[in-house]
Amino acid sequence: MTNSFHVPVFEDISVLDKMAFEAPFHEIATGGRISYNEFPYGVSSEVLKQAIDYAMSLGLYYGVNVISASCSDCGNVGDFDVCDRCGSDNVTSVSRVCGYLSFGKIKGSSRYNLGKQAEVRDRVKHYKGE
Amino acid sequence: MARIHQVKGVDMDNGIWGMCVSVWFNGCEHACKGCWNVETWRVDDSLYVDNDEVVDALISLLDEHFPKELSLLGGDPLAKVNVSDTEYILSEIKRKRPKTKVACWTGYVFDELTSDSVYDNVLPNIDVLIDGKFDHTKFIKGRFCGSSNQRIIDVKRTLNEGRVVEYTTDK
Repeated sequence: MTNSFHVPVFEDISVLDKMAFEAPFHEIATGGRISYNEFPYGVSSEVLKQAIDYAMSLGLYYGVNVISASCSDCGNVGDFDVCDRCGSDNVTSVSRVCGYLSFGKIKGSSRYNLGKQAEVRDRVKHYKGE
Repeated sequence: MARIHQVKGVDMDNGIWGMCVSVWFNGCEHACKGCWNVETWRVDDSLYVDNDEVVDALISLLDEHFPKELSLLGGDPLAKVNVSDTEYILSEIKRKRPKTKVACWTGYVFDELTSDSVYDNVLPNIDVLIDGKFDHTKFIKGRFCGSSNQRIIDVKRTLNEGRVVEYTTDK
């Protein structure tokens, strides 16, 4: 269960299936609603455009999430909590939780409260195919 | 009967033209050092799926949610153990859904394919071919290539013009 019509963040589901599943709830939740997808770092602009076009065709209010981390020691960028090139913990990452872009980590420490940290930990990318 | 490791209905990483449906063939004899899919090398007869079942699944996935293109990976879709299945599957896809664009990754070099008649009927149904083994000493962080010796080939133009023409993507 979640506190919304969102497919739970840990659910292994494709970008398109998640949108299609949540679309009917946009008709009901008239007080305000949004759907999100989690994309991998480096996702191509064509893929994002297709996702957004599909969201528009379903009539969603829609946002895309692409986590972005950078290592303050070696300059490496990607999706990691500990640098996957030099192993440093001195990492800054930005992601969106509860609608706000914020620092999941800045110079090694998190700006999220424990609940938000737990949600980010539980999240999976919406990768699932078949 | 094709040996299919996996079919992904929505693949965001391996499409030349945005999201794609991807088919991962089983069986590969190249054994490139540093391969990202070692588990697909050994020919595994337990993965046999009827070719028509593969075609039907792909045809329905290609138009699920919105139209997508097709990517063949592996393993090697053009390995000797796979080429006749790949030929059949592609010819049926192109017959039932002619607009489908097909990208294929292989460890063979393009010239090896054109000099072997076994590939005569499969190459014309591939739009973009990424050729050559992965060479870890030539590693690059390419979107579609793992090493600098690999080429992204526009197969139609290459066959028409009789020389290898590289496919130009926006990136």
